[in-house]
Amino acid sequence: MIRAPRTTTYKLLIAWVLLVTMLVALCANEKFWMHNQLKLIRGTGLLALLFFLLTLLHSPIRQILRKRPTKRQFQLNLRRSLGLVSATAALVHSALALLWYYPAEPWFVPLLDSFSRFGIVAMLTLVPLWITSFPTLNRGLRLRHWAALHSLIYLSAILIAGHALLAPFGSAKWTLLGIGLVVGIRILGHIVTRTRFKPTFAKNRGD
Amino acid sequence: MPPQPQKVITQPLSGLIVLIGGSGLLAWVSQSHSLLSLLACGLGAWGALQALPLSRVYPREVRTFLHAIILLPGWTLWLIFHSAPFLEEEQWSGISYNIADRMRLEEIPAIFPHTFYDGIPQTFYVQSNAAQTSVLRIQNHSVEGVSLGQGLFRHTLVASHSQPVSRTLTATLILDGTQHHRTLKRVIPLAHPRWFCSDPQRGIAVTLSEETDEGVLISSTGSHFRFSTGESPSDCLILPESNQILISHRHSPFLWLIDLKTRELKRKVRVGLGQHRLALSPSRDKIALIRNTDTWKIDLLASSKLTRLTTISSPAPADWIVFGQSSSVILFSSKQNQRLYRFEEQEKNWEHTSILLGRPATVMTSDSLGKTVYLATTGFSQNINALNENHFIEDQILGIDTTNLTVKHHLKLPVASRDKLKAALHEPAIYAGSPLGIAVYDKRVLITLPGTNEVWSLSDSLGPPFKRLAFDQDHLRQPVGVTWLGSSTWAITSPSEGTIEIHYPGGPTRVALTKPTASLLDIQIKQRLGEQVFYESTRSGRSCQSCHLHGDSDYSTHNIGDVKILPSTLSILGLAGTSPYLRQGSYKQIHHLMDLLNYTFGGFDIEDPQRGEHLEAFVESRPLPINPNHLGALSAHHQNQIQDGYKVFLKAQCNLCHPPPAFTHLGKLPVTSLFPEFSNPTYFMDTPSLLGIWRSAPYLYDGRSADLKSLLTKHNGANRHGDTQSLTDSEIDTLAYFLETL
Repeated sequence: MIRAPRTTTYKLLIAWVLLVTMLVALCANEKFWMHNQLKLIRGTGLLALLFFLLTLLHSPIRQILRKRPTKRQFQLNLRRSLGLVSATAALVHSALALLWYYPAEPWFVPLLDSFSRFGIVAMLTLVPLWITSFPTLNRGLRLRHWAALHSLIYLSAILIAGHALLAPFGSAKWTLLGIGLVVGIRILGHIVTRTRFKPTFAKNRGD
Repeated sequence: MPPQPQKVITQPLSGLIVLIGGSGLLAWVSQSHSLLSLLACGLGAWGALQALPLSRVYPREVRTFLHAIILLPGWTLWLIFHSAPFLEEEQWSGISYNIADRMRLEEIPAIFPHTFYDGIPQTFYVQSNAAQTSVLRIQNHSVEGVSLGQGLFRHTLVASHSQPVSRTLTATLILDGTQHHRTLKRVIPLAHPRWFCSDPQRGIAVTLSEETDEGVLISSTGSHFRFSTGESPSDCLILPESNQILISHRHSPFLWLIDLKTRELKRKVRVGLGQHRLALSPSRDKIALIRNTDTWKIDLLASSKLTRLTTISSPAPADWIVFGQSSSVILFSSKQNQRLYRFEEQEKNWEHTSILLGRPATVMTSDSLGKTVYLATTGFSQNINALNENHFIEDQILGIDTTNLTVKHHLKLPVASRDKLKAALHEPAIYAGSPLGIAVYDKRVLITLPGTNEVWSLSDSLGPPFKRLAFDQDHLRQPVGVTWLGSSTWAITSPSEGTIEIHYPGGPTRVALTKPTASLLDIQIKQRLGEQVFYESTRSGRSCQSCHLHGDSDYSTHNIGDVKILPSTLSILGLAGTSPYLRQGSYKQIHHLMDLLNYTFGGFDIEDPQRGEHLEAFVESRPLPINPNHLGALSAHHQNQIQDGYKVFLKAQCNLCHPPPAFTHLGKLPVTSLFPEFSNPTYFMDTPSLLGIWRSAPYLYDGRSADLKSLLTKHNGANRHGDTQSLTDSEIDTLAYFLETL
């Protein structure tokens, strides 16, 4: 059984509460908000995207680089941390974007445009993943299909790719490179894993 | 508790397949065309997953079989039947064009525009990382860039015509001595004879082709002679006393005098930049020349020596100009404020009156005595609200008394109204579209209607006897210019075909100014056909030309379905490479605009599935007019002002949405994010390129801002349309100046 130390989770939570508090404090400063709102929105969006890519790339890179899984606890914590950073940055990004771009009827108008629709739905898929990435909360929720639920990350990836490609401020070139990188490395990781561990791994799975 | 490893491996696989396959089935059954409905299907499948513990009940083989059944048919059927509407609904249709445009701009050093127009002065912007010098080389032309700061350069290139070889060419950017190559699309202009200047008494007329820098002299005997006119001829006059043709030029400070007999240049006269149209007084002693630069003026010249007699300041940029009954009365129309002005010299002062037309004059001429001025508009009313009906376009011909500007004659051309459009769809067309040529002689008026391929003949009171000459599709297309060559001979031009047709009582003679179609490049043929689509009337009587006058704006606001918000017409000039298109940025490709023509405007009588492709080729071939104030070398003072302006541009963060070199991020935004006071929060707004902004007033979505300064101050109350509230008054002026130079 894999269990993350509670302290790690708490540290992460505290760090993010502090970060969000800092952003809220900055945005409450009207002058700062007026001059930096677009930079903040784009910055948090980029941060979310970057960490999301790292989250997706973490496992296949590990598969490619290592012959056998080692330091599993550390790796799981690292992946969880990357995912949490990404999801939290995405939450902040969404909140700021809704405040800035959709001051009127933010619950409805964003759904009218494909770009924001993809972003919002991606955010909605990230929320359950974000919540269920805290082991303590999972234990409280008595979740049965944790892994199935977390396969939602692939749907999130498609939606985020769509959001990034449609984003007027995003870089089309880097977005396409990112998509290519994730798809390429994941396929490579899959091939490497199957080649190295196929006989014993399949047997052990009891599949 | 985190899951047991066994479950992680087995259950999600079955679950995922049921989820994905079930979503597909549901999506196909429910005909899902949007992301949200697809997600609803996904949720439905999730419910099914919870209800069907597949992995526990069935052996592996059965499960695989069931998975295949669930997985394949749903999505296959959905892909076949519903993926195209889904892509359209989600605005993914044509996304590759938008991405290609964006990637071109991201490739630093980036150049914009990506299109090179042979023989037309053009401005290119080059964005480098932090280069100090930039040289642009295209074909055998090299031009040094003016640095605007922060690695941005402006290159103004006046390239001569060259032989067409291919539809692309390579531009070389030399930045601090390092060469970079970029591929540009190439537009090779074809002859476009438009309006005539004529002398019906002598039976001669001249028409100009601005694109190919040539003129054609035709006569009532059927002879025709082609001659060179100099760069970008804008209008001509036949001077009977001196047997010369006077040519004005859009991008040159010189008027040219060409001998009628030899068609050779006799003399050049310097009058200044911004030359537009010419008019000859009834007594033939004076010539009026419109000059629109940073100031708007009419030069009055003596026709004998072409010396300037006086200059009249105009309250608006003039478009069409004629004399009244004497040399001391001048009438001109203005597209920008849709008025007809009458200037009269009284005790050495020029006093003016004007009337509101409602929509701009698309063509204007006068009778030989200057008593009546005849003009065409796309709507006439002095009560502007009358023009605010849903998609209101009503082509009209007016005969206006030149002494008091009263409307003497009035002809409304039939247009199918929006309300009657559905009923009219299956009936024969009764509309007439877009009058663009008027000729008056011997109490007869000829009108060309390119929308319906017709020429009408009426009396000078715009009444009977009425004759209608309709050209079939295989004959002449979209006639524009028309002139009399005597009492029974007349001629018309077809710019979209590059032909002139002289009509005698016995039958027509045709003069083709371009090579046979077979020798043209494929793209040139498409541009020609696209131009015809542009002018062709839909079944509602409206065409692209109805609002976008020759591709430009009609400087009017229109009700396009919401009477509370009246958007101003955008220009389509220089639109290539700025996907997405339309005011709301709803179309990634220009040819998608055919949806509007087909559904909103009733479509066309004759089906042609390639109309969209042709229209796209034509629109992409229309260049952005260059600012005449910034032709040639700039003084050090002006250059410093522009550099300061660009610094303010960056300080106000305009570049966040209007980044150089295209000065647009090729996207769209909700209108209320910039203008919270906007009445409808559901509107989105395409971010337009700022290039050519000097000629696109009024500004903002509904044209609420008359000039750039008010756009930056009065109409930016929330400070969201650039951080202009942190700028001083002088910085605002500098920024407005910089924008006007783009």
